Amino acid sequence: MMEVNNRVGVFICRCGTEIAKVIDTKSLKEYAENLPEVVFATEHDFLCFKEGLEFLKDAIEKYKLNRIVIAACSPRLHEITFRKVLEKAGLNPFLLEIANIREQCAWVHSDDPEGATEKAKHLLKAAVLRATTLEEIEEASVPASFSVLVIGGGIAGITAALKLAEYGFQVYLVEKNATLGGKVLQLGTVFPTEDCGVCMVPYVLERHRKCLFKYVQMVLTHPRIKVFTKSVVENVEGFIGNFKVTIRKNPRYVDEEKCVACGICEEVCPIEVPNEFDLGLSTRKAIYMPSPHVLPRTYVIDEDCCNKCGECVKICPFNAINLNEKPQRIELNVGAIVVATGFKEFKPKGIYGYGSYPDVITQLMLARMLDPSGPTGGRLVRVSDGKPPSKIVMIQCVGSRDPKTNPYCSNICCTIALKHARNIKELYPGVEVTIVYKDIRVAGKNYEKYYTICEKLGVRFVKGEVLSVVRNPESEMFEVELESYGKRMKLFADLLVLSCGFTPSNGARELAEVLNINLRQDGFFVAAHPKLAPIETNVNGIFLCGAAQGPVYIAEAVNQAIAASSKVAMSLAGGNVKTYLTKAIVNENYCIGCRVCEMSCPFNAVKVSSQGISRVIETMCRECGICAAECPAGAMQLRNYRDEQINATITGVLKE
Amino acid sequence: MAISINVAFCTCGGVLEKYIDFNELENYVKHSGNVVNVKKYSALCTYDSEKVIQDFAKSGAKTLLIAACSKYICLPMLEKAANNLGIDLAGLVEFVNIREQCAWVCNGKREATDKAKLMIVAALERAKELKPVKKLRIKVKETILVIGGGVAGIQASLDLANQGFKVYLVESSPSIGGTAASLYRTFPTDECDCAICVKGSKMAEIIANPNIELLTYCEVKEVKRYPWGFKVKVVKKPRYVNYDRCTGCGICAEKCPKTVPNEWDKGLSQRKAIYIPFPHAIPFKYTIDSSQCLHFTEGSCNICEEVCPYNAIDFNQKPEELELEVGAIIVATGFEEFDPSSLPQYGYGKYKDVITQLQLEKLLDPLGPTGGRLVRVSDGKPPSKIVMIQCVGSRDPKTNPYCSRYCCMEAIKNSILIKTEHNPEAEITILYKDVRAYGRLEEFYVQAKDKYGIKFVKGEVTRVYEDKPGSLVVEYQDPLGNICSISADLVVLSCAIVPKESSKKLAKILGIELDEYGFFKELDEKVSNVETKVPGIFICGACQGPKNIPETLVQASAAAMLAAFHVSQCLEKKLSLPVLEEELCARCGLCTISCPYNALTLTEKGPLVDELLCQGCGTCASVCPNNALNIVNNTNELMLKQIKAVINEAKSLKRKVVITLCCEECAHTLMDSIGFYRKKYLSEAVPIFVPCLGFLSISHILAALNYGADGVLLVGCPLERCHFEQGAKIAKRKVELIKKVLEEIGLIPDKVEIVNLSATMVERFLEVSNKLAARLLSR
Amino acid sequence: MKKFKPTIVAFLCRWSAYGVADIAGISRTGYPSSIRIIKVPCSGRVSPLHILQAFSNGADGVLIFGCLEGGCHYINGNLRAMNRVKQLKKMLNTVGLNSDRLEMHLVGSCNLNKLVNYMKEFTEKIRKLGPNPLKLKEGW
Repeated sequence: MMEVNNRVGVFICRCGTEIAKVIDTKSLKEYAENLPEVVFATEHDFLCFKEGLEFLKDAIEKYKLNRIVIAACSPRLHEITFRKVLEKAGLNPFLLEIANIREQCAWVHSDDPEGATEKAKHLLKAAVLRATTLEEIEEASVPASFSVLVIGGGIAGITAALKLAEYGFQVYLVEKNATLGGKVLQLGTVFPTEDCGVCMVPYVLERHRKCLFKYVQMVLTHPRIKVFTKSVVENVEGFIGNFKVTIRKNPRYVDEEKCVACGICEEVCPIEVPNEFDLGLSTRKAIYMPSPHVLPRTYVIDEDCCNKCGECVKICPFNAINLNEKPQRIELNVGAIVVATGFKEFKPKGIYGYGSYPDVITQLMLARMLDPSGPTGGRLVRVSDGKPPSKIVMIQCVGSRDPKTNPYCSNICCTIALKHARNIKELYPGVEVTIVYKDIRVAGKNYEKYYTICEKLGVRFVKGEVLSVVRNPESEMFEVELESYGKRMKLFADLLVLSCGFTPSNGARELAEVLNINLRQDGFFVAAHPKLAPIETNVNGIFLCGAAQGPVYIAEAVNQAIAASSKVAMSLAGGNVKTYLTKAIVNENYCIGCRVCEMSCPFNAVKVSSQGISRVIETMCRECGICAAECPAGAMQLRNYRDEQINATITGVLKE
Repeated sequence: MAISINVAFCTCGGVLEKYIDFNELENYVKHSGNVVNVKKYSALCTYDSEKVIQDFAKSGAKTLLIAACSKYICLPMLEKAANNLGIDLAGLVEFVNIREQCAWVCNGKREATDKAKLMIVAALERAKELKPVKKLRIKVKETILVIGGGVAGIQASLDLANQGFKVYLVESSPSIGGTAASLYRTFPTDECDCAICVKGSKMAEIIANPNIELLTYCEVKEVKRYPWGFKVKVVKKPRYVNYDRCTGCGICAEKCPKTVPNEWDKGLSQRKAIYIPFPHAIPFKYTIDSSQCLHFTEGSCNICEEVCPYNAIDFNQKPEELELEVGAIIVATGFEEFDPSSLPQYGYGKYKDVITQLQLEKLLDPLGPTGGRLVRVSDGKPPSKIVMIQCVGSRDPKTNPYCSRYCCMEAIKNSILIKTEHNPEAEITILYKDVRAYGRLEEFYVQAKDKYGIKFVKGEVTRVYEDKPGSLVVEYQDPLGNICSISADLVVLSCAIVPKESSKKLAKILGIELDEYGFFKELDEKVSNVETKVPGIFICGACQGPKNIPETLVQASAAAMLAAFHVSQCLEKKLSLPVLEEELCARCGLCTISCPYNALTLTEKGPLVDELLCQGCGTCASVCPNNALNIVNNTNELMLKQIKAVINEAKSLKRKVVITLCCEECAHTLMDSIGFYRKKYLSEAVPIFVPCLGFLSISHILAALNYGADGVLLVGCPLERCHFEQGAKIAKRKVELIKKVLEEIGLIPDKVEIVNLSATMVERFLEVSNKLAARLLSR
Repeated sequence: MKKFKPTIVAFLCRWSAYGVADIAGISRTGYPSSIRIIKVPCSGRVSPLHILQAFSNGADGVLIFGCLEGGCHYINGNLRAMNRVKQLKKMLNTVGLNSDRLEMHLVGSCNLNKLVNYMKEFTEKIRKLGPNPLKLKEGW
């Protein structure tokens, strides 16, 4: 680019008398006039007023100024206003430098006018020197792919997918299991509304709820949503607006296009195994549908137990079954990624006899049992003998609030326990229900009612720490010994329910590596900032929702999902990622490819190319300048805060 | 006039042939009137879907009757296929589920085939009368109004503005920021805990963003709803300071003679009558509090006017009225701290050293009244024994039954701050009911307990009193019932989050509802707590219910997304509106009262339907004494025809019949579910579907009995969770009424039964149907 | 000889510290005029180079202010800066500069008094330490 010599204009605002009464603006002006490359300097009473701004504009044009220095109040107040003026006058808005001589000089040194004036001179000099080093900074607009990858087909995932698709995005929904719906489907009835988990979100105009069943069908048939079941994200490259994603679609051995769920394959399948959807409370075949309510209503073959006998292949009227199906890889190009991988229940192996006694169950198993369409048709029974239990003890905080397993509180287990206690009491008033707890955490507007209702229904609450659980072989009762307010006591139960905490779903760690986003030690994903960016991650264009960040209520999961879609819409607005290029920039002649910048960048915005040269991805860079500070070769710079620019300021504030 | 019908059967790849005799069905259908074309397909949901549509188009028939599997599996596929062929099936298709609702739930081919016939008979009746469904298409203005400039309002505005929408942000106080900005720090404490660090940058963004028009010191006065959105009247209160001229230099405040308690510091400090609420205020412009300013109260003083270097003071400013036209409104008005003086036992107001958590915030805040020194309000001495009382005005049936969600962490955070920044020696006790440090927050509770030695005591406070001047005693009952007491020199009440006083007024203006506690009522607690019953009006933040800052931000973004969607898309809705026969209408207004969506307004011409609000549940039609209201494609007449047809056919088949009236929501899914589970139940139960049980009127049921039904079974949503709010309850009441009537006129009341079940309650339904079978069919 | 009046360069993070410095002005909370504030996007932008530049230009002391721990708008810029300062302090001694001439603190936007006190205390400390020896060497 051709060199034009700098024509610096200095505008000193007296701010009425606010600055002038402390700082001798007249001598300041004279001082300015003698500074290098200054062709025009002036004082003004109210530079921020209309007349002031017009004056500024005219001066720029009249004196052909190409660097503007304003000594006035804090840039935090009027920088934007002044930049607009520069633009009006045909200058690049970044050719402006403001010396803060009000908040950071006049107002704090009113006791020391000379000192203040002297300091002001330095600030001004610094501003002028810096101004001469300023460069034009252009706005870049990177074309973005108007499509989104949603990882996880639980309630959060489908909500995000549907909202984004309705908004106009092409959505790819990736679910590692064979069906959509996630945990909600297993919960039976859900709080705070006590309806079945499958009762879901309304349209914007149609105000009444729809069944998740119908809702998921909307997802499956939506023209702008492509669903990949039995699929995992294998690799992700690129950056916001242009992520290159590789998906591995594992074989389901049943053609989704052809299967009509007539179910005769299931009838002929010889192999029967426990059904994990019902946590082993029911069985399924090797070719199966986890639950009648799942979608897509397409059968799937569990390769781990299928003996490839081929009976199903023979009988299928649509020859939809192909036992030799192989995994396929699918390449996608997306603008943003939403992570909704959810959680799973903590497995209390060996705790309080879980695993050794069938009548020690988890809340999720109880949920399956109480689900009117569950394995027992909603009847409450002891797993061991199928008899109805008479004394139930629920133990809270198993695998949460416990340094040995998970230090965090799992947030929703209290409500789940209370919900079940309530359901049981309503169905079987005779059954004794006792809840052993540390704190009953049903926080918020809609959940406290569970506590009060349960108390009314005669659920017994015991605050304490469980010491031991033993099963008395004679009475066949569990004896729960615990300490409550310093006293030891015993509780008896013929059904023991453990309120287990929740842990990240399988594959979260691998996914974090693929996506390059941060995890907590406990394996849940972590947002960029709990209050500045509760949905964003450290990677621009990748967002979190649902239980991926930790266990949440359905209501929150849904909100997060919609919020995440809002962030996507924000960052891909208009099919472009727009940004001013006040970004890091590499001087390739100096770069030694040492990767320090790459490692130090908190936002994965710097990559070292195969030629061993750093490359900055502008759309990912957030202008912190850490890389520039760390670069040992001085090759990495942050535009508008280049070394020479900062040094200019330093020299200015110091040198006489 | 009757319509020609094209009938399509699906054998599910021949699987259903085992259960149902399709040839018999075909012949049977051929001979019933209006049917121009009958065909059997093997997979409508997959490779036949386009074929059937093409055949339908060729046949020239007006409507298409499909007998196949679950409507919710098959229909979407057909619609997809139809769209590809440029046909809109809305109002052209009638659906019979002969798989889940017939083949898979009947005993044997004979039963199934007969039941299929009866179902098809009913369907044919509808098919004959189907009219194309009109669609409501609206495109609203692409501007959005956000009410409230707190953390929620700010976040929502930024989301929207950055998506490129024009936003009006209306804030009633002189500066944005809300309660969150007034906090000293916000948990979780190891994050950037100082509130303004976070709020500051966001508040600055608001000013910087060209898409946001910030209207501070303004009130929403009036809102009118139109098809294109809302016309909003906003009143700009006079600041008496020229916005453009004021540079925030502050000489005026310096010289102003009138000092008043500073609400920003919760009354712990003084401010002048001309003021800026707080140092980070945005916009940084002064405002004259005319209720205090001597110029207005006594007409005496003009000092500020004289000293202002910029002649920015303007005592003659008048309230301005602005009129905005917006497509959507987001309400984010926030909350108030519960005023504990109404609960004498805590001694708030009586003893100076009993303060609230938000007041404590101010005492800890370096920018606060004490410059960040923690002192007793009474004597300015630093406190050493501090007691915090939880759940003041929360979890208490006498005041607010709900839990305020944030107070536990507020107390924990503040006590940690006292320990770390003020007095490590301070003895801090927190009296709690339950420590609700849910989720991640647990770690801060553990820290407080173990690292900082803060005492947590479970107990219910009975009273707070002063034993000797300057020393307070907190008396409480521990879980074992003993009365204990702790002495304290500072007592902090963790007060509930309560709705703003102004919410009532605003709710009226906007035409949205408040919940039992006075918060704005969400459309649905579980699945949509940012929408309201009025399309286009959204809520977020603490005005919807207590929550902490991250949750508020998330909800705000969610509200923004829905608002963005609402204004950016051309919204579409299938209309099944009530149609009025004016000469029959007696203007009784029953319909308007019964409508769960307030969609009807009574005019001298009779009820006027709001197309946007109406959901087509038909409750209004069912309560109309003169049958003047009828839902399109669901007229009373049609209902009766269907019932009659089924019963007559049953007679000719020499079968008993239980008319089973199911709602389209829970009940429909339930009927399908039973099929998925292959559970058998009495095949005499022939389902006829209605939008909602609320649609059914007493006459339908009586008619059924009158025509000779062996029983009438109503299946609908659970009472509390009717998809149309009231329908299930209304139906229940009607059934009870009928039972009474039947009894009085000496008929068997238990011929009529109603069950309210959610979509998964398969077993429950079987119990009921079996009982019914035993009762009705034994006769 | 006239009382030594130190000049101190203060690098302020644009998110928290710089705002607090403005608040100091708004609330007319004074601090020594010897403090010369330089705005940086993040304390993490300040490299040893800049600090040395300041000293070699005759700064008697250098102050750096970053966001509170966990509050960095760039995840960990403030901590990285802290690290560099620790390293550099070691070096300073070796080049004959008292490492006390360099300080870094973390402040939130509400810590007005904290910020001002740091500035005052630091100025006092520097006054005691006397002028920057490099300056004398160069024979100013």
